[in-house]
Amino acid sequence: MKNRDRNNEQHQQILGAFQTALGQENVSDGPATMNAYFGDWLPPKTLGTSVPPEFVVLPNGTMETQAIVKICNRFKIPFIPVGSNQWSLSSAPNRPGTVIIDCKRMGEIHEIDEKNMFAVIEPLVSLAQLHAEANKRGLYIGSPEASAQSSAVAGHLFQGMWGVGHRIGVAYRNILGIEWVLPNGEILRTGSFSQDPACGFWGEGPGPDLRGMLRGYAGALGGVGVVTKMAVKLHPYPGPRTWPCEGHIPNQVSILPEDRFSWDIVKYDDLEGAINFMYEVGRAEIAAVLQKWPTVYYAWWWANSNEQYWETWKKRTFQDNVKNAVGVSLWGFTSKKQFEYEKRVLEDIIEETGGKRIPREIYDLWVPRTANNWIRDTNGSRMMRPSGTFLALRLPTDTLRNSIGVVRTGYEWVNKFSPPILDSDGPDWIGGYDFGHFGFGETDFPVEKTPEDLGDLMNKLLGMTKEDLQNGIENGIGPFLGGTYHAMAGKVFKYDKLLKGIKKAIDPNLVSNPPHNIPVED
Amino acid sequence: MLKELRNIVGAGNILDDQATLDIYSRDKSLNPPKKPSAVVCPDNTEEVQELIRFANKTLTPLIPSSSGIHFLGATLPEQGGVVVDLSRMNKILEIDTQNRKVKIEPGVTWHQLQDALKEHEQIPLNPLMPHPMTSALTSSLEREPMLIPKYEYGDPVLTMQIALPSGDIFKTGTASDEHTDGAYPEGPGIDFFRFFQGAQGTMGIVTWLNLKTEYRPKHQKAFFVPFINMGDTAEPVYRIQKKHIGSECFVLNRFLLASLLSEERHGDFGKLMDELPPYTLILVIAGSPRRPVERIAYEEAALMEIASDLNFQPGRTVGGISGLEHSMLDKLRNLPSEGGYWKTRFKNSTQDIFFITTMDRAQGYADLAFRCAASYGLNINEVGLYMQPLERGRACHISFSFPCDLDSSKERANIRNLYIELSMKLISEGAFFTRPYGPWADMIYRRTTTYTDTLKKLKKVFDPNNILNPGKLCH
Repeated sequence: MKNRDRNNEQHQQILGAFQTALGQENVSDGPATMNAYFGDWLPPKTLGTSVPPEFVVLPNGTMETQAIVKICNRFKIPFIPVGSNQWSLSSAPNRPGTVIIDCKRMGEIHEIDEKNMFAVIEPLVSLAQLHAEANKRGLYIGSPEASAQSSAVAGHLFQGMWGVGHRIGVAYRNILGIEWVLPNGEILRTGSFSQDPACGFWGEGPGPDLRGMLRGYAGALGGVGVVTKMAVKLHPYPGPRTWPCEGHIPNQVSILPEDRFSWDIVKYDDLEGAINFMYEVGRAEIAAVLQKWPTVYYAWWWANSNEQYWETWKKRTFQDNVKNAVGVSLWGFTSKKQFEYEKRVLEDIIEETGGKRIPREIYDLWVPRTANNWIRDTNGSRMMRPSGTFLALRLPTDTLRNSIGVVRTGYEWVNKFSPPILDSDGPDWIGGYDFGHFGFGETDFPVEKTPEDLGDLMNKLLGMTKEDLQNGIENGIGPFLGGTYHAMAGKVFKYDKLLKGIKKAIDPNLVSNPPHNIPVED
Repeated sequence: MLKELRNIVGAGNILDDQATLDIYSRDKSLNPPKKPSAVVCPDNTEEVQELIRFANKTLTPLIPSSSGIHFLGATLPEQGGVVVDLSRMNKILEIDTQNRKVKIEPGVTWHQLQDALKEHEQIPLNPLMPHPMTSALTSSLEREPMLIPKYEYGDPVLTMQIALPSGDIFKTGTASDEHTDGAYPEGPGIDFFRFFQGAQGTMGIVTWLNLKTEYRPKHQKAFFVPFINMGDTAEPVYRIQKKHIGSECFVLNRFLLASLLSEERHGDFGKLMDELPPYTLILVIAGSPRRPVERIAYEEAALMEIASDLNFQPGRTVGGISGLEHSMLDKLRNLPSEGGYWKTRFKNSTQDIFFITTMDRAQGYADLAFRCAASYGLNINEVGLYMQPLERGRACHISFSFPCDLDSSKERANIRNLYIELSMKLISEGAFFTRPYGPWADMIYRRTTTYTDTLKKLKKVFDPNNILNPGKLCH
């Protein structure tokens, strides 16, 4: 099926309605624009599973967004809200007649309440922008691996396993009040916004918390409407008021004050040793960042080019030196004395657990270029350098203990799927969150961005996910597929009836990015 | 009906005599009594499921109740029906020290939980000196504020098992996958766990819950800071919290602190009222498992720097009361197994009005509350005020306590009128009542039509026959 012809009568009716609501300049149906909106670094466009939208609209604010959603309901046409548009597995149109609601005109930071440590933002505000404004006020926020160039609103609604989540939790714990246009066009305000649209300081309630509809391990993927305003937590930050960058990309480095910030990369003989160390750091309630990165990350984040990556990889610069290593960053939140205290505690833990710091030359090679960058920008965009894209095959969160099994099973699947998976040295990213209460395991790897390799791998991943579901395993990658996955997993984990009921109740015309978050057509 | 109920829970676990029904028809709130037709006491999840199936078949309301101690009217059967008393389901199913979590049934009390965790060197994240016989599960599920604001990730609820209003069993978060440790709250699908929180048992009956625990400090110091005005506490607490200092941190006015301390000082309440300052900030600086004394030292030094800067005086006591530090730490770490509840020591009930706000607005709400109390003829020296900073001081929980003699109809009526008027005034001034009990439900839900409408739609998805605690919230 194809989109309606631009001269089609109904197309013109819809176009006219959008233009009346937003003005001609904020509505497009031009082929060039449409072609820019149906793919990114992910497989759909490469594999030909996405189609161009029929309209792209640029509402400004909640009321204009509401008008667009009501028009979509009137004509029963699907819409997809996009923020920074980095996740085409769900944000690329999968059916004709789709309207992209691009939040490009909603980039305002409405408020930063320095005293009470929260910000109220619109969807286009990037995490980098918010970081910069927060830092000026002695505050900070986390970034997921999608990088700080992504939408802060979308980042909070998607997976959101922040690099700095060890102390401040991950994204889902950091959402406060929300203003949100439901699929039926009603405006829903949650948390303290529900009582006063000017006050976003609290997220829950009143009563049962409707934020639950928006989240889930990978969010609702546009299946439950459009968030137009969100209050998010900010956190006390002991660093400089402007991010201390030197040099130019790709050789830019970030240098934080040594009397308040440090990095240690501590190596263990095996994964169990590394995880034991992470538990001890969490139990001691020290550090701001605690991550066991796989060797492939060290190479990904460090290399400036495809050539440099493969050259370094062949020399085994990182594989031989950082296997089973944990990165720890200490921050002096309270004082220099606190910072010194945490150094002593860390030293005790390293000694007791038999850890060894990685060789100095490797530390000096890697840390200045990449480690501090992880705090603000993360390094996700650098993961495209070796082969144009990367994928993951398992990434659930539970306990640190559980994450060992996750990545070990991941190795086995990586081996089964190589090729097309490229060499990745047993990828095993394990993040520690909430002072060691949670552990996140992820198995990701480079893959050539060709239709053949991606198509082959996508089929394999889908097969793996189906097999996992047969065994009652939630592998963490499934939820990123949205509706397709929930249609299968909902039956296994017994949430399909409830989720379908909710989708039908708030999206009676099924216009909000179908088939997400679950298909309801029988 | 009784025959069928007996078949489900056994003859000995169903109560329908008038004396018992009278007890279950009222609680410590001022909400009008509502009599159930029976009380059943299931022993396990399967029995709960059977009760729900029976309720759907006969369209009988079920009112979940996890302990016999209730202050807010949430377990009064608004539309009649059967009270499901879950106090027999009182097992601590697992203590996972490595991952700092505990799995509990609804009948587990705060005292029981704190006591069981001691030998594992853990503590629960409990509210301020809860009644020791109240349910830890319900308290956490209902989002009662915890005493330790340093955990910026807040909410201690992890995963849970629910008997849905359909009778089906549902597990939230990673508990839905048996290959995990059941620690992570998100999913499956969406964040279902949020719909069962703050729901007053209207969305399902939770039959077990995984909660975060934290280490039990072996070294700790308590500091007390006197203040004349409530508003003067805000800046010190903001600064303390932003500098990551301390563990438990809260503010009590003279009346509540005297009530809390006098529990073991019979007849000493008046003396405490004379000695204590109008407001006291209580801050516990606790050592961590490693180098605890050094940790206390740097946090104490940082506290003193702030004190010097802002000109306040942290001490190991306040008002010259001897043994105060030891007494306070003992109360926080060792909930009594029985005996009177400190908040009802003064009169036989306390009517509390609580809400969420930010600390810089607290003084305004305090002024409003005391003015309103005075206009109803109350002695404002006998009105309690508790301020609990939340999440490093980003927000705070404020609670005003009005002691009330439930045996005096005149006093009941007076406090009830004050309660209604003050609640409405606070709401209109921006106080956020995130847990709308009793008369607050109408006040809150009529101000937010889309939220209310959407919540009703969800309730219909979960509970199409409206059998679970009908009449509560907006249902």
